[in-house]
Amino acid sequence: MMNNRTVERATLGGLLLLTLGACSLPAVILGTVFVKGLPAIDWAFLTRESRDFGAGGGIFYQTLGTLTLMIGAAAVSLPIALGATLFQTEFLDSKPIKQVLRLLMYSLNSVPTIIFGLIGYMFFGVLLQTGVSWLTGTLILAVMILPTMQMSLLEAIESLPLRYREAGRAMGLSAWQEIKSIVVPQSFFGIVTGTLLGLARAGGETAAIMFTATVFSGVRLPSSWTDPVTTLQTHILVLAQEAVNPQALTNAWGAGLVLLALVFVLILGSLALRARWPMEAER
Amino acid sequence: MKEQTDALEMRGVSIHFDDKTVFQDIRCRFRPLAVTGIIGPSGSGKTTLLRTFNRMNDKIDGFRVRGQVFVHGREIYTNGVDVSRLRRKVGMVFQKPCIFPKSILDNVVFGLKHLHPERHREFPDLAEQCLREVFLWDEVKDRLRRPGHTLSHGQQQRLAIARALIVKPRALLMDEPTSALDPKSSRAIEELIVSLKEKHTILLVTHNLEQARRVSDETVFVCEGRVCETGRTPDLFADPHCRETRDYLEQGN
Repeated sequence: MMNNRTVERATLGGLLLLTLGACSLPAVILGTVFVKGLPAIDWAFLTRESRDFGAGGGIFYQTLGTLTLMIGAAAVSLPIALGATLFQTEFLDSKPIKQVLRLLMYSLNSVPTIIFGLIGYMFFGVLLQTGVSWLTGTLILAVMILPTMQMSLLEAIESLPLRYREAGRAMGLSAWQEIKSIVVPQSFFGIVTGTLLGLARAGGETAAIMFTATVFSGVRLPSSWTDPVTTLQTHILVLAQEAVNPQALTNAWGAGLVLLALVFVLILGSLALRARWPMEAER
Repeated sequence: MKEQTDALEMRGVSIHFDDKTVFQDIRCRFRPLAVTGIIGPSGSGKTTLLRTFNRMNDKIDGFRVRGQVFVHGREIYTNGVDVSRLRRKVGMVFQKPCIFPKSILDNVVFGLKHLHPERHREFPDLAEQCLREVFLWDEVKDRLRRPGHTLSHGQQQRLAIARALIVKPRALLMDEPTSALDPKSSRAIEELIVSLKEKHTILLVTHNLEQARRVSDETVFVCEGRVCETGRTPDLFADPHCRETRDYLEQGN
C-alpha cells in the first residue's frame, strides 16, 4: 500500500514529465527548423528567384505568393466576418438562432482543410471558372479562415463593456452610429488581432491550396486573375518529396524557416495587441 | 398647461423582466424644472424606473412594460416613437462616467458629431458653453486636446454631464452620479445638479439620503414594486406617511 504522500508525489512527477514533454515538442520542432534552415538564409536567398528546381537561387516569388494568398484571403474574409459578427451582436436578439449560428461556425472550423480545397475548387475553380489560380486559392483560404476570424471578432466585440454602448445609446445614437462610433473603434485592437490570427492560419495552410492555386516553378507574379502563383508551402513540399540535391534540401528548410517566421511574427503581433487592447477600452 | 406638458409621468405602469414583476401598476409624476430624488432600498427598481423614461431597458432580455409613460406630454412606448429623438430630449448620466479614449473636446462633442456633423465649425463654441455649464471650463480650457482619461473621476463625471447637455436635452436622468466619487467631488456635482434645474427636469436616483435631502425639491420613495410615497423633500423626510418610508429613513440615519 502506498501512502497518500507517495501518491501525491508520483502524480506531481507524472504531471511534470507530461508538461516537459509538451513543452519540449515545439522546442524540438522549432530548433530543428532553425538549425537546418539557417545555413540557407542570406540576403540573396530572400531576394532572388528560385533556379535549378530549388537547388539554386532563392525564394523571393514563393514568399510573395504566400503573402498574396494570405493577405488576399484576409481582405476577403474580414468584411464578411465583421458583418456576420455585427449582425449577431447588434441586431439578432433571438438566443436559439445565435446558438445555431455559433454551432455552424464551430462546424465550419472543424472541417478538414483538404475538404475546403476540394469543394472550393469545384465551386470557384470549375463552376465559376477561375481555374488553378491565385484567385481560387485566395477565395478558398478566405472561406477557411472565416470561422477563425469570426470567433476572434465575436470575442472582442462581446467583451466590450455595456456601459460604452449605453453611453452612446443614451445620446440618441442609432444602431448604425453605435457600430461606427463605439463598437468598432472600441474593439479595434481585437479586430486587428483576429485578422492577424486569420492571416497566420492562412499562411500555415498547404493542403487546400496545393492543387488549386499553386505550381512549383516557372511563375513569378500573377498577371491576371486566373494565373497560379508559387508559394513557400508548395516549394517546401515538392523539394522535400523530390529533391536529391543536398543544397535543395537545405533550401527547403530555409523556406520552412521563412514561413515559420512569417506566421510567428503575425501571432506575436496579435498577442502584443491583445495585451494592449483591454487597456484601450478599460475592460 | 406648460407645466403639464413638460412633466415626466407614468400612468398605471407595470414593468416585468421575464416572469419577475419589478413594478405593479404604478402612477407617478415628476415636476418639471425641479430635481426629484428617487430613493429606496437596493433592488427596489429605482434604476429600472429611471431607465424606463428613455427606453434604455429595451435591449434587456425579457423586459416588458405595460401602461402609459409620458415624456413632455407624449406617450413613448406606442408604435412609431423615434427612440433616438426621445433620448436626445431625455439625457442620461451614469453611475460611472464612461469617457471614450479620445480628447476632452472630442468627448464633449461626441453626440453632436452624429446629429449635426455639418455644424462642426460651431463645435468649439458649443463645447465651451457646455463645459462652462458644468463648471469645468476653467479647469480644462488649456488642455482640451488631452485625453479624457487624464481628468480626475469627479472631472470625468462633469465631462460626461457636459456631453449629455450638448445635445440640448430637456430632462436629465441621473443614476447615482456621485456614488463612485469622493465627498468633495460629490459636493461639486450636487451643486451642479441644483444649477441645472433652472433649465432641466432632473430625476436623481441616489442611495445617499443626505444627498436627496440637500439636492432634491421632491422625493419619491420606491419599495417592493410600488411607489410608496411622493412629496416635497422636507415634508417627506420630516413626516413620512408610509411605514416603509419611515423604517427606511430611520435605518439610513
